[in-house]
Amino acid sequence: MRQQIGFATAQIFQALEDGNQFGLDVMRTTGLASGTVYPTLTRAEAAGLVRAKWEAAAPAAREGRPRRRYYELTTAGRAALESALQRFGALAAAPRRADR
Amino acid sequence: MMSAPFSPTDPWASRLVRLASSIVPVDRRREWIEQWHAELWALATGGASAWSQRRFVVGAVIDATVEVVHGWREGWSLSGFIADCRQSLRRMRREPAASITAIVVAAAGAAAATSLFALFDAALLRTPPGIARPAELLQVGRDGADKFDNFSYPNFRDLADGVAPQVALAAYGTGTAVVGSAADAQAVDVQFATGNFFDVTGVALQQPTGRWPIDEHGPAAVVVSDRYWREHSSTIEANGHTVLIDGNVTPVAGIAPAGFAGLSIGAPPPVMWLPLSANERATFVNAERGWSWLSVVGRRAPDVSFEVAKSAIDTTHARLARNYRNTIGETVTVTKDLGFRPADRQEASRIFALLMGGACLVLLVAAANLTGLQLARGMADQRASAIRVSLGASRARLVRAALVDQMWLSALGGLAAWVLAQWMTTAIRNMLPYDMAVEFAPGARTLVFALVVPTLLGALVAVVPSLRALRPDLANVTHRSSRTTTSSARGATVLLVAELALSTALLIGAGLLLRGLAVTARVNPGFDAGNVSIIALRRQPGARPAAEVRAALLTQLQAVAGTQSVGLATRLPIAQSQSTRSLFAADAAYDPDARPLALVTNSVDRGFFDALRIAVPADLRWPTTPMREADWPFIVTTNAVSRLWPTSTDTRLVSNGQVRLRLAATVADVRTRSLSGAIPPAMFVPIALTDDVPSFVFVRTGRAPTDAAVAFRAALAPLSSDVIVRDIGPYEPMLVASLSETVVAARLGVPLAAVAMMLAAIGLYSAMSRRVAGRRREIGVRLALGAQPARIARAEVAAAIRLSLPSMAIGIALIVVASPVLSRVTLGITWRDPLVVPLSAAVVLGATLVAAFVPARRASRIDPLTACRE
Repeated sequence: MRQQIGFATAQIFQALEDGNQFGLDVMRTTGLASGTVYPTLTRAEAAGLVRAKWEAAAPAAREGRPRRRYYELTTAGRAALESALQRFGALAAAPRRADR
Repeated sequence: MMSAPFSPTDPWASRLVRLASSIVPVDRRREWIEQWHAELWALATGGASAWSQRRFVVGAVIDATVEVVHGWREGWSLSGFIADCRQSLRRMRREPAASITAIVVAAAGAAAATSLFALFDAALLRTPPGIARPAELLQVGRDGADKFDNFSYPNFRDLADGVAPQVALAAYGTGTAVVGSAADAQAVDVQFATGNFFDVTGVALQQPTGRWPIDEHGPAAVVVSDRYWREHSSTIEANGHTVLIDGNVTPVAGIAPAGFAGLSIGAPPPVMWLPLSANERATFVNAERGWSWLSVVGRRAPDVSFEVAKSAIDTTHARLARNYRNTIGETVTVTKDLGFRPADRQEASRIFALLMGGACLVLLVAAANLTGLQLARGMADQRASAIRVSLGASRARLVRAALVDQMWLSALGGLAAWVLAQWMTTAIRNMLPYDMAVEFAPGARTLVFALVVPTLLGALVAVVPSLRALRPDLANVTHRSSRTTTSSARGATVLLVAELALSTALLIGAGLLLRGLAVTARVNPGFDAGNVSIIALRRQPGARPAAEVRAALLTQLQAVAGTQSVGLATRLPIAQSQSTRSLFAADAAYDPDARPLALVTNSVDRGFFDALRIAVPADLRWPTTPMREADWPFIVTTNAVSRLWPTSTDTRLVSNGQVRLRLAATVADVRTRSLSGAIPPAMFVPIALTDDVPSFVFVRTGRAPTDAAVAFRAALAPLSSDVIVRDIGPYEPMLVASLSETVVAARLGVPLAAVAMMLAAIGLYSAMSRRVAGRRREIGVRLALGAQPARIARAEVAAAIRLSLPSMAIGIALIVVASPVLSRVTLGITWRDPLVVPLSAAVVLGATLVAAFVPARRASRIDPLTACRE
């Protein structure tokens, strides 16, 4: 069954889809707080919507920093994002009270 | 850890991350810290301030919580639960001794608490069964011989008429009736009640014939108890739905609902209810304003609050007191509580609070014992737990496995406790010094208690060792040198000390109760009950005149070999139920407003004083036949003299407003209600003047009256058409039974202490066995190096004693602290008593030696070769 995600999750997923794989980058792109971004990623990973992988040790050592954990959307995650965008798009297109 | 020296991150933010990581499952923790360190590092190198970094770490805390919740949800899957159940059952099969011990410990602790709770529930929490809308009911008592005395019928009637219709009052009094004809006549306990008794109490009769409610002065009808109906229904039906009571064919008006045994819990349950008119002395007791024998119960009208009802009763009573203050008292007490009179309820509450406290201590001992067992299992399982964790098992899985394991044991323990409680409640009922008028077989509430207590206990005790198992370190456990093992052993020792301390406290408490009883039993009651037998009688309907019956009784019993003297009385000295008369000095300075003195009254013959060795003047004139003199002779106890006649010049006359009495003699104070507490003033009047058939005969014999019953019964056989012999027995044991509060506490407290001691001994035995098992190698080496086996055994016993000594000290300290509360029930005996504490300490020491003996012997028999190879 396709999983429904909320607006904040959709924002995070969209950031991942746009190529931001590092948690801090997602946070900066979306403007959400760390208390929202990281727990959402943890829950999404547990639900199979997001996959996490560690970067190789070499580039981190080269740059003299700890290695990072990168996130990417799974197929299910992409489908959930697609569905969310449609829902939110329909919402945006719906006539507002002032327009009626 | 990832706090590298080159890190640009804020140290406080790093610390917060590490702190938050402590709740992340072990298998995820290392990666989680590494990830957050990388995030924090990136943030810091981007120029974030220290405060921004700290705010950022809030996300880490929330993230860690999400990890935990996720771990738990994973851990609590149904399939995992079933797997744990299977593993737990396999383990029970593998370790039957440890499992059975845990079940027995849980069952013993819970059963003791459950059966006492059943008694507590029945006596104090539940309303007597069969009563409709009990919240509307109230009890009324007046000040008299005590603060909640009974009413006479005329006073009750005036009060009831005065408070209607706001409150409907009904009254009932206890008595006996003879059921059946002379050949198979039987004296039974009955209640005489007003016509509206069942209406007011809201007791719905089974098979009502419409004869009740009846006029309490009209023709008799009887309501029989459900039990009596079940046992005698065929006879009743064969007799045309009637019962022969006191020689009168009495129609059955209905059957009381099952379980209804009247309103008084501490009184013998009545077999039947009769109208007041059926009392064999109805013409006297229902007309005499000074004869207070009725308990009063009321139901307020639905729209009348308790306060309004109470106010109506107060007002009416105050009005009546203006005319009848010497018989109705000056104050009235109204209470919502049923079952007990207020003073008795207070006493019962105190005793039950003490017993429930004892039961809680037993539960604590059981909990400590179970925790000790679990800790031991946890220590044994550390290796397995460490391996499971290193293979990826989450914390939740380990906690759940421990919980499931303990839940099984607790559930089985709970079921065993339930079965045990069934048996124990019967045992408790037999231990009580009086019949309880309520059933207290464990009900639904008790079943819940039996199942919930051990289960909660199990959950609680499972948490401690399982939390310990959450941090197993594979390297440490496999090398058997971990701090964890040491601290587990320390925890087990603390628990054992607690168990022994609580058991010691319970043992001393029980000892104080027994000692209190033993000391009080030697209290001089004001008479000598040694070598005296009591014969309880009930007059037969159609008996000869009372004077003839009294003479025949004396003749028959004095003829029995060994009889020294025979005395007759209507009341038994030292019994909760006594008759009181309110009297005032009737001298020249008679003051009509003077407050009368309530005296416990007994109608006796001259032989009564001889049989009980109460010193009276040799020339005492004590009538043996009814006399028509104006002033009846009477005897008072010393403590009544100064209260009746403050000055020595007063004439020794008293009056109750109807009869004048002249003092014939003064005797030393005699205890009438209990062997402990205050001694109320008492008086004796000649039984010949009240013209009663005695309810009690006192026979003094030359030796202990153990075999006298048969001879007395034979001697009274020719009088079977005059009296029914209800009971014969030695008098002395009955005196101690009058200390009902302490007797109950002792009879129930001693087994409770025994259970606690048994549990503590089991705990000590397990601990010593574990200690020996854990030191096999060490003992083996010592034996191989030439240590004497006896010395090894002595060392183990000494270790057990080292544990029990501080426990005893703590137990004694607990008793010292509880002393002010305890001494009220232990009849003034405290921990300073020279016998109780040393004897209890000796028992604990003895139990320690017994529990340590087998493990110590096992230690001395270890084969050094085998042990060193292990």
